Amino acid sequence: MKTPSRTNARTDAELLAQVARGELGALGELYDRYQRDVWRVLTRTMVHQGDVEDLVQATFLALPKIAASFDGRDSCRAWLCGVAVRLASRHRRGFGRWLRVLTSFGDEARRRRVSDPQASAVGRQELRVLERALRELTDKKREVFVLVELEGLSADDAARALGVPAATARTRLFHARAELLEAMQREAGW
Amino acid sequence: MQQCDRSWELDAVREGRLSPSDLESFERHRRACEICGALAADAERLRQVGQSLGLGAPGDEVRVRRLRGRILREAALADARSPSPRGILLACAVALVVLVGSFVVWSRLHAPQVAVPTPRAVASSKVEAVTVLPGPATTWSRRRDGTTERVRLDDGLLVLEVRHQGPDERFVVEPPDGEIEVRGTRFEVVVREKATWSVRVLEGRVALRRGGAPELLLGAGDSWTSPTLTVVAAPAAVAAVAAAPSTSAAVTPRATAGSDGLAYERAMKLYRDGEYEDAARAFRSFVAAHPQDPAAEDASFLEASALTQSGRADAAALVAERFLERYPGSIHARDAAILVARAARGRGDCDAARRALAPWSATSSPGMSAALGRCAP
Repeated sequence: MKTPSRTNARTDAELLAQVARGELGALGELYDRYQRDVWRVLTRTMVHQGDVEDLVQATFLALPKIAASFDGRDSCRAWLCGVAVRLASRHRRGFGRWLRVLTSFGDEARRRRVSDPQASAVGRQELRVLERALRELTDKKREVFVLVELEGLSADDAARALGVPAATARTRLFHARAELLEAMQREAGW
Repeated sequence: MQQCDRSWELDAVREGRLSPSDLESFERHRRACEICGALAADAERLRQVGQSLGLGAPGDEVRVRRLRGRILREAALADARSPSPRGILLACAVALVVLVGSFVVWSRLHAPQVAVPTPRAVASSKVEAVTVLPGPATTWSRRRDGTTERVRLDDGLLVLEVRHQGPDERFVVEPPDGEIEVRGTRFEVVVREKATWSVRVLEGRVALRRGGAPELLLGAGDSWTSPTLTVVAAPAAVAAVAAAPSTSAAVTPRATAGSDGLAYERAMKLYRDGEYEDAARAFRSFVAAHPQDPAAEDASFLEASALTQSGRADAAALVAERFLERYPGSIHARDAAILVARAARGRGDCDAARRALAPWSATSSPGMSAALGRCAP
């Protein structure tokens, strides 16, 4: 995912510095830039649909408190995705929510089957199997897989975003990929 | 899953972590190694299928904008609630001065003294108990009258958060045509044309007193809209409102019982399907038939947006101007102003374009810059 080109616009680091000083206009601008990325990463890490909006809100509302911890690189997308994923991870620990995820098992694929033309392009069966296999991964493996393979972060960036050593992130990624491939071979005929 | 000793280098290649010589060596290996070739192909395939997950979110532009407004509002309230580092330092300094002062006085009089807060200190602590968030171009002022705090609202939108008042304290908002008294609440008030336009209570209770009308109590989730707004409604709607008792008919809970959700959904579907002319008509009909409905605000903005999408910039600007008059504090207000500015720029009227965006000049955004284009100051 590319960061949108922003000639003459304030950089993410500048905006975050302003957010840390309590400037709400900067928070609005960051929302405009990255709300789609945050929304998507939360959906992909299998947050229950009903909770995604709350978590997007929680992610951006956390910025005034944590903006100072941003390392100042060009784009804060990876960092922001990491914040969202960590909030989601904390949120997911509630048993009730976990139960809801289980009961909504397969909902996404069913919904997408009728509404998302891209799903038919890649094969409904493959998508359904991948979705189920992703759900069956542990949260830790799923988070790294989503950040690296689907959101395009490097393993180092994902590790930094999740607050784990890079070697740990690579190990989780390796096992996540292996488990997903095994599921695809077993159930989707790869 | 079969592994080769050099499989780990697949990720290193992707991340650019190999030196040129290592990269060349690995590429030579990969061409010969079936396992590495298969792993790379499988990983790529997995990535491609995975890319289709979670696409299209969040989908509904109105939902996105609403969420934006909610985040900014919550952030503003949180900011007002939490003392700034400078505030904490100041408070510590004041506490230290009071402590030292108390000690000096005590030691001089040889008698224990208690530091009593001065009336000014009480007043300033009261000031911090109230958060006022004005909308763009809002005219308002604030004063303290003994134990009563008064906020005068002449025009525009105010969002207020008032912490619970003590037994002998009052907090009053004064629109031109009455007063609103609260005791610990979160609510918003809109004043237009020297009259209260609407009151929406988010938490707690407020008492609305307008002119000679009896006091109206509004609880959390209630909203009140001026009955005079019905002048823009369809004849049937006007008749219905006119026939109802003025105070009770005007109080509407957030989820209006009379709202026509299906009509709104139909209009939204036309919009999503790209049938913008029809969508604009459908939204206009919805607003005309349900001017008091909470969704009328969105529908009115979406009519302007649909007209823009169908290439009718001037018609969109007219609708957007009407929207801004009616909902000056709306979360869509800035976007509506952008539509007005864009149409004005299209006509070559740079003054009008700049005027339209003037209330937001302090919070420029790429959308606003694009709307002004060559008209930018």
